[in-house]
Amino acid sequence: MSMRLYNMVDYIPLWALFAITLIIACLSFEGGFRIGRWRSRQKEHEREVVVRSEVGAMLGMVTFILAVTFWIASAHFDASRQSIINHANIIRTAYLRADLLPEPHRTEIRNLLREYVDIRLEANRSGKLDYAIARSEELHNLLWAQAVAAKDKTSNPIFAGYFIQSLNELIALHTRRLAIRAEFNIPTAIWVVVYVIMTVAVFAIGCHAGLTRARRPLVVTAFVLIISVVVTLIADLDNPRKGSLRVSQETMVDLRKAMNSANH
Amino acid sequence: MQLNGLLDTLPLWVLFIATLTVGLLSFEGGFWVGKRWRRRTEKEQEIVVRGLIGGMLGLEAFMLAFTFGAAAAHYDARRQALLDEANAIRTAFLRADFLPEPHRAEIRNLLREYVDVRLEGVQSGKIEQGIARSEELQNQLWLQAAASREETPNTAYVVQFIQSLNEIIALHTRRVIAGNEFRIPGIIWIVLYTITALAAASIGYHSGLTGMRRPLVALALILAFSAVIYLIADLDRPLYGFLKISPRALVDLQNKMKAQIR
Repeated sequence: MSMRLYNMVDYIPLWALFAITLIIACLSFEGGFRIGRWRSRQKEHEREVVVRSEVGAMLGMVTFILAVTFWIASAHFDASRQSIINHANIIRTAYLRADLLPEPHRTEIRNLLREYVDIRLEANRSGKLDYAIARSEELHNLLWAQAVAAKDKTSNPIFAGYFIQSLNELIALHTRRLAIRAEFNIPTAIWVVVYVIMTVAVFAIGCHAGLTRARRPLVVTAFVLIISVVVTLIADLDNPRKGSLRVSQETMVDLRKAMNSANH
Repeated sequence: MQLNGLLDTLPLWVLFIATLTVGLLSFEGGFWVGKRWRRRTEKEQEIVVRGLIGGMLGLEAFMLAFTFGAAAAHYDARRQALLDEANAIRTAFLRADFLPEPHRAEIRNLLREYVDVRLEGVQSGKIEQGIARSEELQNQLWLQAAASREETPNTAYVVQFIQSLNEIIALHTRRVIAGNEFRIPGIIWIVLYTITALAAASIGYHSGLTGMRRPLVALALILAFSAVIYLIADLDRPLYGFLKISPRALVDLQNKMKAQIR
Protein backbone atom coordinates (compact mmCIF):
# COMPACT_ATOMS: atom_id res chain seq x y z
CA MET A 1 0.00 0.00 0.00
CA SER A 2 2.65 2.47 1.01
CA MET A 3 4.71 1.39 -1.98
CA ARG A 4 1.81 2.33 -4.19
CA LEU A 5 1.36 5.70 -2.56
CA TYR A 6 5.05 6.42 -2.95
CA ASN A 7 4.85 6.59 -6.68
CA MET A 8 1.54 8.31 -7.11
CA VAL A 9 3.01 11.09 -9.19
CA ASP A 10 4.81 8.48 -11.31
CA TYR A 11 1.57 7.28 -12.83
CA ILE A 12 0.63 10.63 -14.35
CA PRO A 13 2.29 11.47 -17.69
CA LEU A 14 4.52 14.51 -17.47
CA TRP A 15 2.53 16.69 -19.86
CA ALA A 16 -0.61 15.97 -17.81
CA LEU A 17 1.24 16.85 -14.63
CA PHE A 18 2.26 20.14 -16.20
CA ALA A 19 -1.32 20.88 -17.25
CA ILE A 20 -2.77 19.89 -13.87
CA THR A 21 -0.27 22.06 -11.99
CA LEU A 22 -1.00 24.99 -14.25
CA ILE A 23 -4.76 24.58 -13.79
CA ILE A 24 -4.49 24.26 -10.00
CA ALA A 25 -2.35 27.39 -9.84
CA CYS A 26 -4.66 29.40 -12.12
CA LEU A 27 -7.76 28.34 -10.20
CA SER A 28 -6.28 29.20 -6.83
CA PHE A 29 -5.23 32.60 -8.12
CA GLU A 30 -8.67 33.28 -9.51
CA GLY A 31 -10.34 32.10 -6.29
CA GLY A 32 -8.08 34.28 -4.18
CA PHE A 33 -8.62 37.23 -6.49
CA ARG A 34 -12.42 37.04 -6.22
CA ILE A 35 -12.37 36.65 -2.46
CA GLY A 36 -9.94 39.56 -2.15
CA ARG A 37 -12.21 41.77 -4.23
CA TRP A 38 -15.25 40.80 -2.25
CA ARG A 39 -13.45 41.55 1.03
CA SER A 40 -12.29 44.93 -0.25
CA ARG A 41 -15.89 46.01 -0.77
CA GLN A 42 -16.82 45.36 2.85
CA LYS A 43 -16.62 48.13 5.41
CA GLU A 44 -13.85 46.62 7.50
CA HIS A 45 -11.22 44.79 5.55
CA GLU A 46 -7.57 43.90 5.79
CA ARG A 47 -4.96 46.57 5.24
CA GLU A 48 -3.15 45.91 1.99
CA VAL A 49 0.24 46.70 3.57
CA VAL A 50 -0.14 43.86 6.08
CA VAL A 51 -1.13 41.36 3.45
CA ARG A 52 1.81 42.40 1.31
CA SER A 53 4.47 41.17 3.73
CA GLU A 54 2.58 37.95 4.38
CA VAL A 55 2.42 37.24 0.68
CA GLY A 56 6.14 37.97 0.41
CA ALA A 57 6.91 35.39 3.07
CA MET A 58 4.76 32.79 1.36
CA LEU A 59 6.44 33.42 -1.96
CA GLY A 60 9.77 32.85 -0.27
CA MET A 61 8.50 29.58 1.12
CA VAL A 62 7.27 28.30 -2.27
CA THR A 63 10.59 29.20 -3.84
CA PHE A 64 12.52 27.46 -1.14
CA ILE A 65 10.42 24.29 -1.10
CA LEU A 66 10.60 23.96 -4.88
CA ALA A 67 14.34 24.55 -4.89
CA VAL A 68 15.04 21.98 -2.19
CA THR A 69 12.80 19.40 -3.84
CA PHE A 70 14.60 20.03 -7.12
CA TRP A 71 17.87 19.39 -5.32
CA ILE A 72 16.62 16.12 -3.81
CA ALA A 73 15.37 14.94 -7.19
CA SER A 74 18.59 15.74 -9.01
CA ALA A 75 20.65 14.03 -6.30
CA HIS A 76 18.43 10.99 -6.78
CA PHE A 77 19.01 11.09 -10.51
CA ASP A 78 22.77 11.22 -9.97
CA ALA A 79 22.62 8.36 -7.47
CA SER A 80 20.90 6.05 -9.94
CA ARG A 81 23.39 7.02 -12.62
CA GLN A 82 26.24 6.27 -10.24
CA SER A 83 24.85 2.92 -9.17
CA ILE A 84 24.60 1.72 -12.79
CA ILE A 85 28.29 2.47 -13.28
CA ASN A 86 29.26 0.68 -10.09
CA HIS A 87 27.15 -2.29 -11.02
CA ALA A 88 28.59 -2.58 -14.52
CA ASN A 89 32.10 -2.29 -13.11
CA ILE A 90 31.68 -5.01 -10.56
CA ILE A 91 30.09 -7.36 -13.11
CA ARG A 92 33.04 -6.79 -15.42
CA THR A 93 35.49 -7.43 -12.59
CA ALA A 94 33.74 -10.68 -11.66
CA TYR A 95 33.68 -11.71 -15.32
CA LEU A 96 37.43 -11.16 -15.65
CA ARG A 97 38.21 -12.88 -12.38
CA ALA A 98 36.28 -15.95 -13.47
CA ASP A 99 39.39 -16.55 -15.60
CA LEU A 100 41.14 -17.58 -12.42
CA LEU A 101 38.73 -20.47 -11.79
CA PRO A 102 38.99 -23.98 -13.27
CA GLU A 103 36.72 -25.31 -15.98
CA PRO A 104 33.80 -26.08 -16.24
CA HIS A 105 32.96 -23.47 -13.61
CA ARG A 106 34.64 -20.69 -15.55
CA THR A 107 32.40 -21.10 -18.59
CA GLU A 108 29.34 -21.69 -16.46
CA ILE A 109 29.92 -18.54 -14.42
CA ARG A 110 30.50 -16.48 -17.54
CA ASN A 111 27.25 -17.69 -19.06
CA LEU A 112 25.41 -16.80 -15.87
CA LEU A 113 26.95 -13.33 -15.82
CA ARG A 114 25.96 -12.77 -19.44
CA GLU A 115 22.41 -13.73 -18.64
CA TYR A 116 22.56 -11.40 -15.64
CA VAL A 117 23.39 -8.42 -17.85
CA ASP A 118 20.82 -9.46 -20.46
CA ILE A 119 18.07 -9.56 -17.87
CA ARG A 120 18.88 -6.09 -16.66
CA LEU A 121 18.92 -4.64 -20.14
CA GLU A 122 15.71 -6.46 -21.05
CA ALA A 123 13.94 -5.22 -17.91
CA ASN A 124 14.92 -1.70 -18.79
CA ARG A 125 13.39 -2.08 -22.24
CA SER A 126 10.20 -3.84 -21.23
CA GLY A 127 9.71 -2.39 -17.76
CA LYS A 128 9.06 -5.82 -16.22
CA LEU A 129 11.13 -5.13 -13.16
CA ASP A 130 9.63 -7.66 -10.77
CA TYR A 131 10.56 -10.59 -12.96
CA ALA A 132 14.07 -9.21 -13.46
CA ILE A 133 14.61 -8.81 -9.73
CA ALA A 134 13.43 -12.35 -9.00
CA ARG A 135 15.57 -13.85 -11.75
CA SER A 136 18.60 -11.78 -10.71
CA GLU A 137 18.37 -13.19 -7.24
CA GLU A 138 18.15 -16.73 -8.60
CA LEU A 139 21.25 -16.02 -10.63
CA HIS A 140 23.05 -14.81 -7.52
CA ASN A 141 22.37 -18.19 -5.94
CA LEU A 142 23.52 -20.10 -9.02
CA LEU A 143 26.70 -18.03 -9.21
CA TRP A 144 27.37 -18.62 -5.57
CA ALA A 145 26.91 -22.39 -5.97
CA GLN A 146 29.39 -22.36 -8.86
CA ALA A 147 31.92 -20.41 -6.82
CA VAL A 148 31.65 -22.83 -3.91
CA ALA A 149 32.05 -25.81 -6.21
CA ALA A 150 35.07 -24.23 -7.89
CA LYS A 151 36.68 -23.54 -4.54
CA ASP A 152 36.97 -27.25 -3.81
CA LYS A 153 38.47 -28.09 -7.16
CA THR A 154 41.04 -25.40 -7.58
CA SER A 155 44.61 -25.93 -6.50
CA ASN A 156 44.83 -22.37 -5.37
CA PRO A 157 42.08 -21.15 -3.05
CA ILE A 158 43.33 -17.57 -3.18
CA PHE A 159 41.96 -17.22 -6.68
CA ALA A 160 38.57 -18.63 -5.72
CA GLY A 161 38.46 -16.29 -2.75
CA TYR A 162 39.24 -13.49 -5.08
CA PHE A 163 36.33 -14.27 -7.32
CA ILE A 164 34.03 -14.70 -4.32
CA GLN A 165 34.95 -11.22 -3.16
CA SER A 166 33.67 -9.66 -6.36
CA LEU A 167 30.56 -11.84 -6.28
CA ASN A 168 29.73 -10.60 -2.78
CA GLU A 169 30.14 -7.05 -3.93
CA LEU A 170 27.88 -7.69 -6.88
CA ILE A 171 25.12 -8.98 -4.62
CA ALA A 172 25.53 -6.06 -2.23
CA LEU A 173 25.21 -3.58 -5.09
CA HIS A 174 22.04 -5.26 -6.29
CA THR A 175 20.50 -4.64 -2.86
CA ARG A 176 21.68 -1.07 -2.94
CA ARG A 177 20.10 -0.45 -6.31
CA LEU A 178 16.80 -1.85 -5.12
CA ALA A 179 16.96 0.57 -2.19
CA ILE A 180 17.63 3.50 -4.50
CA ARG A 181 14.72 2.50 -6.68
CA ALA A 182 12.26 2.08 -3.84
CA GLU A 183 13.17 4.71 -1.32
CA PHE A 184 14.95 7.60 -2.86
CA ASN A 185 11.88 8.68 -4.80
CA ILE A 186 10.33 11.86 -3.54
CA PRO A 187 7.65 10.52 -1.20
CA THR A 188 4.02 11.45 -1.71
CA ALA A 189 4.12 13.38 1.57
CA ILE A 190 6.61 15.83 0.07
CA TRP A 191 4.56 16.14 -3.10
CA VAL A 192 1.49 16.91 -0.99
CA VAL A 193 3.41 19.62 0.88
CA VAL A 194 4.68 21.10 -2.39
CA TYR A 195 1.19 21.29 -3.84
CA VAL A 196 -0.45 22.59 -0.65
CA ILE A 197 2.10 25.36 -0.21
CA MET A 198 1.95 26.26 -3.87
CA THR A 199 -1.86 26.42 -3.84
CA VAL A 200 -2.02 28.45 -0.64
CA ALA A 201 0.66 30.89 -1.80
CA VAL A 202 -0.91 31.48 -5.20
CA PHE A 203 -4.26 31.88 -3.48
CA ALA A 204 -2.71 34.52 -1.20
CA ILE A 205 -1.25 36.35 -4.18
CA GLY A 206 -4.71 36.38 -5.72
CA CYS A 207 -6.21 37.74 -2.48
CA HIS A 208 -3.61 40.48 -2.38
CA ALA A 209 -4.24 41.43 -6.00
CA GLY A 210 -7.99 41.48 -5.31
CA LEU A 211 -7.60 43.68 -2.24
CA THR A 212 -5.81 46.37 -4.25
CA ARG A 213 -8.94 46.57 -6.42
CA ALA A 214 -6.71 46.63 -9.46
CA ARG A 215 -7.02 44.40 -12.50
CA ARG A 216 -5.42 40.94 -12.68
CA PRO A 217 -1.72 41.54 -13.29
CA LEU A 218 -0.25 39.98 -16.43
CA VAL A 219 2.88 38.84 -14.59
CA VAL A 220 0.87 36.20 -12.76
CA THR A 221 0.90 34.19 -15.98
CA ALA A 222 4.70 34.15 -16.00
CA PHE A 223 4.83 33.22 -12.34
CA VAL A 224 2.36 30.36 -12.66
CA LEU A 225 4.18 29.07 -15.75
CA ILE A 226 7.54 29.09 -13.98
CA ILE A 227 6.17 27.15 -11.03
CA SER A 228 4.55 24.54 -13.27
CA VAL A 229 7.72 24.12 -15.32
CA VAL A 230 9.81 23.56 -12.20
CA VAL A 231 7.33 21.07 -10.72
CA THR A 232 7.33 19.10 -13.98
CA LEU A 233 11.12 19.10 -14.08
CA ILE A 234 11.25 17.74 -10.53
CA ALA A 235 8.87 14.90 -11.41
CA ASP A 236 10.94 14.15 -14.51
CA LEU A 237 14.21 14.01 -12.55
CA ASP A 238 12.68 11.96 -9.80
CA ASN A 239 11.77 9.05 -12.02
CA PRO A 240 14.90 7.90 -13.85
CA ARG A 241 13.01 5.45 -16.00
CA LYS A 242 10.41 7.80 -17.41
CA GLY A 243 10.12 11.08 -19.25
CA SER A 244 12.89 12.87 -21.05
CA LEU A 245 15.41 12.20 -18.32
CA ARG A 246 16.36 8.57 -18.39
CA VAL A 247 19.43 7.12 -16.86
CA SER A 248 21.47 5.91 -19.79
CA GLN A 249 22.12 2.17 -20.01
CA GLU A 250 25.16 2.71 -22.21
CA THR A 251 27.55 1.29 -19.63
CA MET A 252 25.63 -1.98 -19.45
CA VAL A 253 25.35 -2.20 -23.25
CA ASP A 254 29.10 -1.66 -23.57
CA LEU A 255 29.73 -4.28 -20.94
CA ARG A 256 27.59 -6.80 -22.82
CA LYS A 257 29.56 -6.13 -26.00
CA ALA A 258 32.84 -6.54 -24.18
CA MET A 259 31.62 -9.87 -22.79
CA ASN A 260 30.86 -11.11 -26.28
CA SER A 261 34.22 -10.14 -27.67
CA ALA A 262 36.06 -11.73 -24.75
CA ASN A 263 34.38 -15.02 -25.45
CA HIS A 264 37.38 -17.28 -25.30
CA MET B 1 20.48 14.28 -25.25
CA GLN B 2 20.43 15.67 -28.80
CA LEU B 3 20.04 19.12 -27.33
CA ASN B 4 23.26 18.62 -25.43
CA GLY B 5 25.04 17.75 -28.68
CA LEU B 6 23.63 20.90 -30.24
CA LEU B 7 24.74 23.04 -27.30
CA ASP B 8 28.21 21.52 -27.47
CA THR B 9 28.71 22.68 -31.03
CA LEU B 10 28.31 26.30 -29.90
CA PRO B 11 31.48 27.93 -28.63
CA LEU B 12 31.08 29.23 -25.10
CA TRP B 13 31.26 32.91 -26.05
CA VAL B 14 28.45 32.39 -28.55
CA LEU B 15 26.43 30.77 -25.80
CA PHE B 16 27.09 33.76 -23.57
CA ILE B 17 25.96 36.21 -26.22
CA ALA B 18 22.93 34.07 -27.02
CA THR B 19 21.92 34.04 -23.34
CA LEU B 20 22.43 37.76 -23.09
CA THR B 21 20.36 38.29 -26.23
CA VAL B 22 17.53 36.09 -24.96
CA GLY B 23 17.54 38.00 -21.66
CA LEU B 24 17.62 41.45 -23.26
CA LEU B 25 14.98 40.64 -25.87
CA SER B 26 12.65 39.24 -23.22
CA PHE B 27 13.22 42.33 -21.13
CA GLU B 28 12.52 44.57 -24.10
CA GLY B 29 9.36 42.65 -24.97
CA GLY B 30 8.11 42.87 -21.39
CA PHE B 31 8.97 46.58 -21.30
CA TRP B 32 6.99 47.24 -24.45
CA VAL B 33 3.93 45.38 -23.17
CA GLY B 34 4.19 47.12 -19.78
CA LYS B 35 4.26 50.55 -21.43
CA ARG B 36 1.20 49.82 -23.50
CA TRP B 37 -0.67 48.49 -20.51
CA ARG B 38 0.30 51.42 -18.28
CA ARG B 39 -2.73 53.50 -19.19
CA ARG B 40 -5.05 50.63 -18.44
CA THR B 41 -3.56 49.66 -15.10
CA GLU B 42 -3.95 51.24 -11.74
CA LYS B 43 -1.09 52.21 -9.53
CA GLU B 44 -1.99 49.55 -6.97
CA GLN B 45 -1.25 46.77 -9.38
CA GLU B 46 2.40 47.68 -9.38
CA ILE B 47 2.68 46.51 -5.75
CA VAL B 48 1.43 43.02 -6.62
CA VAL B 49 3.76 42.81 -9.62
CA ARG B 50 6.71 43.78 -7.45
CA GLY B 51 6.08 40.91 -5.03
CA LEU B 52 5.66 38.37 -7.80
CA ILE B 53 8.91 39.40 -9.46
CA GLY B 54 10.71 38.96 -6.16
CA GLY B 55 9.44 35.39 -6.02
CA MET B 56 10.40 34.62 -9.62
CA LEU B 57 13.90 36.01 -9.25
CA GLY B 58 14.35 34.00 -6.06
CA LEU B 59 13.36 30.78 -7.80
CA GLU B 60 15.60 31.56 -10.76
CA ALA B 61 18.54 32.23 -8.46
CA PHE B 62 17.99 28.95 -6.64
CA MET B 63 17.71 26.93 -9.84
CA LEU B 64 20.89 28.47 -11.20
CA ALA B 65 22.70 27.86 -7.93
CA PHE B 66 21.70 24.22 -7.74
CA THR B 67 22.48 23.53 -11.38
CA PHE B 68 25.83 25.18 -10.80
CA GLY B 69 26.32 22.86 -7.81
CA ALA B 70 25.56 19.80 -9.94
CA ALA B 71 27.92 20.93 -12.71
CA ALA B 72 30.68 21.57 -10.19
CA ALA B 73 30.17 18.13 -8.66
CA HIS B 74 30.46 16.52 -12.10
CA TYR B 75 33.60 18.50 -12.78
CA ASP B 76 35.08 17.26 -9.50
CA ALA B 77 34.11 13.68 -10.33
CA ARG B 78 35.98 13.93 -13.63
CA ARG B 79 39.05 15.39 -12.00
CA GLN B 80 39.00 12.80 -9.25
CA ALA B 81 38.63 9.94 -11.74
CA LEU B 82 41.69 11.16 -13.62
CA LEU B 83 43.76 11.33 -10.43
CA ASP B 84 42.59 7.90 -9.34
CA GLU B 85 43.43 6.50 -12.74
CA ALA B 86 46.98 7.87 -12.63
CA ASN B 87 47.42 6.32 -9.20
CA ALA B 88 46.02 2.96 -10.24
CA ILE B 89 48.30 2.79 -13.29
CA ARG B 90 51.30 3.68 -11.18
CA THR B 91 50.41 0.98 -8.65
CA ALA B 92 50.04 -1.62 -11.38
CA PHE B 93 53.33 -0.50 -12.90
CA LEU B 94 55.09 -1.01 -9.57
CA ARG B 95 53.41 -4.30 -8.82
CA ALA B 96 54.48 -5.66 -12.18
CA ASP B 97 57.87 -5.98 -10.46
CA PHE B 98 56.54 -9.04 -8.67
CA LEU B 99 55.80 -10.88 -11.88
CA PRO B 100 58.26 -13.12 -13.73
CA GLU B 101 59.90 -12.14 -16.99
CA PRO B 102 59.01 -11.81 -19.85
CA HIS B 103 55.59 -10.75 -18.57
CA ARG B 104 57.03 -8.00 -16.45
CA ALA B 105 58.63 -6.16 -19.36
CA GLU B 106 55.65 -6.81 -21.58
CA ILE B 107 53.19 -5.45 -19.01
CA ARG B 108 55.29 -2.36 -18.47
CA ASN B 109 55.38 -1.63 -22.17
CA LEU B 110 51.64 -2.06 -22.38
CA LEU B 111 51.12 0.28 -19.43
CA ARG B 112 53.38 2.89 -21.01
CA GLU B 113 51.40 2.71 -24.20
CA TYR B 114 48.19 2.88 -22.16
CA VAL B 115 49.19 6.20 -20.62
CA ASP B 116 50.28 7.52 -24.03
CA VAL B 117 46.93 6.57 -25.52
CA ARG B 118 45.01 8.21 -22.68
CA LEU B 119 46.90 11.46 -23.00
CA GLU B 120 46.74 11.44 -26.77
CA GLY B 121 42.97 10.95 -26.64
CA VAL B 122 42.44 13.91 -24.33
CA GLN B 123 44.85 16.21 -26.15
CA SER B 124 43.84 15.50 -29.73
CA GLY B 125 40.14 15.16 -29.00
CA LYS B 126 39.96 11.79 -30.78
CA ILE B 127 38.20 10.23 -27.84
CA GLU B 128 36.56 7.31 -29.63
CA GLN B 129 39.84 5.94 -30.97
CA GLY B 130 41.49 6.37 -27.61
CA ILE B 131 38.75 4.42 -25.89
CA ALA B 132 38.89 1.56 -28.41
CA ARG B 133 42.67 1.28 -28.17
CA SER B 134 42.53 1.47 -24.37
CA GLU B 135 40.18 -1.47 -24.24
CA GLU B 136 42.42 -3.53 -26.51
CA LEU B 137 45.33 -2.78 -24.22
CA GLN B 138 43.29 -3.80 -21.19
CA ASN B 139 42.61 -7.17 -22.76
CA GLN B 140 46.28 -7.68 -23.55
CA LEU B 141 47.24 -6.74 -20.01
CA TRP B 142 44.76 -9.20 -18.66
CA LEU B 143 46.11 -11.98 -20.89
CA GLN B 144 49.62 -11.25 -19.64
CA ALA B 145 48.48 -11.40 -16.05
CA ALA B 146 46.60 -14.64 -16.59
CA ALA B 147 49.63 -16.17 -18.32
CA SER B 148 52.05 -15.17 -15.58
CA ARG B 149 49.75 -16.76 -13.05
CA GLU B 150 50.73 -20.21 -14.39
CA GLU B 151 54.41 -19.48 -14.19
CA THR B 152 54.93 -17.86 -10.85
CA PRO B 153 55.36 -19.92 -7.69
CA ASN B 154 53.77 -17.31 -5.47
CA THR B 155 50.24 -16.52 -6.52
CA ALA B 156 49.71 -13.86 -3.85
CA TYR B 157 51.80 -11.47 -5.93
CA VAL B 158 49.83 -12.14 -9.07
CA VAL B 159 46.64 -11.47 -7.15
CA GLN B 160 48.01 -8.11 -6.10
CA PHE B 161 48.76 -7.20 -9.66
CA ILE B 162 45.37 -8.42 -10.88
CA GLN B 163 43.68 -6.30 -8.27
CA SER B 164 45.26 -3.14 -9.55
CA LEU B 165 44.51 -4.15 -13.12
CA ASN B 166 40.82 -4.56 -12.23
CA GLU B 167 40.94 -1.11 -10.76
CA ILE B 168 42.41 0.36 -13.93
CA ILE B 169 39.62 -1.20 -15.96
CA ALA B 170 36.93 0.05 -13.56
CA LEU B 171 38.39 3.55 -13.61
CA HIS B 172 38.38 3.51 -17.38
CA THR B 173 34.62 2.93 -17.35
CA ARG B 174 34.23 5.63 -14.75
CA ARG B 175 36.15 8.16 -16.81
CA VAL B 176 34.27 7.36 -20.00
CA ILE B 177 30.96 7.74 -18.22
CA ALA B 178 32.03 10.86 -16.35
CA GLY B 179 32.98 12.44 -19.68
CA ASN B 180 29.96 11.34 -21.70
CA GLU B 181 27.12 11.24 -19.25
CA PHE B 182 27.83 13.35 -16.21
CA ARG B 183 26.32 16.29 -18.01
CA ILE B 184 23.54 18.73 -17.30
CA PRO B 185 20.57 17.12 -19.08
CA GLY B 186 19.01 18.98 -22.00
CA ILE B 187 15.68 19.42 -20.24
CA ILE B 188 17.34 21.36 -17.42
CA TRP B 189 18.84 23.74 -19.97
CA ILE B 190 15.38 24.24 -21.45
CA VAL B 191 13.93 24.98 -18.02
CA LEU B 192 16.75 27.38 -17.13
CA TYR B 193 16.27 29.35 -20.33
CA THR B 194 12.49 29.37 -19.96
CA ILE B 195 12.74 30.73 -16.43
CA THR B 196 15.36 33.30 -17.40
CA ALA B 197 13.29 34.54 -20.32
CA LEU B 198 10.08 34.75 -18.26
CA ALA B 199 11.82 36.48 -15.35
CA ALA B 200 13.54 39.00 -17.65
CA ALA B 201 10.24 39.68 -19.41
CA SER B 202 8.56 40.28 -16.06
CA ILE B 203 11.24 42.74 -14.96
CA GLY B 204 10.79 44.54 -18.27
CA TYR B 205 7.02 44.61 -17.82
CA HIS B 206 7.45 46.02 -14.33
CA SER B 207 9.76 48.78 -15.61
CA GLY B 208 7.30 49.51 -18.40
CA LEU B 209 4.43 49.84 -15.92
CA THR B 210 6.28 52.44 -13.87
CA GLY B 211 6.66 54.53 -17.00
CA MET B 212 10.29 55.37 -16.33
CA ARG B 213 13.31 54.73 -18.54
CA ARG B 214 14.92 51.31 -18.68
CA PRO B 215 16.84 50.81 -15.46
CA LEU B 216 20.56 50.15 -15.75
CA VAL B 217 20.34 47.61 -12.93
CA ALA B 218 18.22 45.36 -15.13
CA LEU B 219 21.12 45.13 -17.57
CA ALA B 220 23.43 44.20 -14.69
CA LEU B 221 21.02 41.51 -13.53
CA ILE B 222 20.72 39.97 -16.99
CA LEU B 223 24.51 40.09 -17.35
CA ALA B 224 24.88 38.29 -14.03
CA PHE B 225 22.44 35.54 -15.06
CA SER B 226 24.23 35.11 -18.39
CA ALA B 227 27.59 34.91 -16.62
CA VAL B 228 26.37 32.17 -14.28
CA ILE B 229 24.88 30.21 -17.18
CA TYR B 230 28.18 30.60 -19.03
CA LEU B 231 30.04 29.24 -16.02
CA ILE B 232 27.67 26.28 -15.71
CA ALA B 233 28.20 25.41 -19.39
CA ASP B 234 31.95 25.73 -18.98
CA LEU B 235 32.04 23.43 -15.96
CA ASP B 236 29.78 21.03 -17.77
CA ARG B 237 31.99 20.56 -20.84
CA PRO B 238 34.73 18.04 -20.27
CA LEU B 239 37.11 19.09 -23.03
CA TYR B 240 36.58 22.76 -23.75
CA GLY B 241 36.61 26.14 -22.11
CA PHE B 242 38.63 27.67 -19.32
CA LEU B 243 37.72 24.95 -16.89
CA LYS B 244 39.29 22.09 -18.75
CA ILE B 245 40.61 19.34 -16.53
CA SER B 246 44.37 19.34 -16.58
CA PRO B 247 45.93 15.96 -17.37
CA ARG B 248 48.94 16.90 -15.25
CA ALA B 249 48.78 13.73 -13.15
CA LEU B 250 48.98 11.57 -16.27
CA VAL B 251 51.81 13.62 -17.77
CA ASP B 252 53.84 13.24 -14.58
CA LEU B 253 53.17 9.54 -14.61
CA GLN B 254 54.26 9.29 -18.24
CA ASN B 255 57.58 10.95 -17.40
CA LYS B 256 58.17 8.71 -14.41
CA MET B 257 57.47 5.60 -16.43
CA LYS B 258 59.81 6.70 -19.20
CA ALA B 259 62.59 7.36 -16.71
CA GLN B 260 62.24 3.85 -15.41
CA ILE B 261 63.08 1.99 -18.62
CA ARG B 262 65.39 -0.82 -17.76
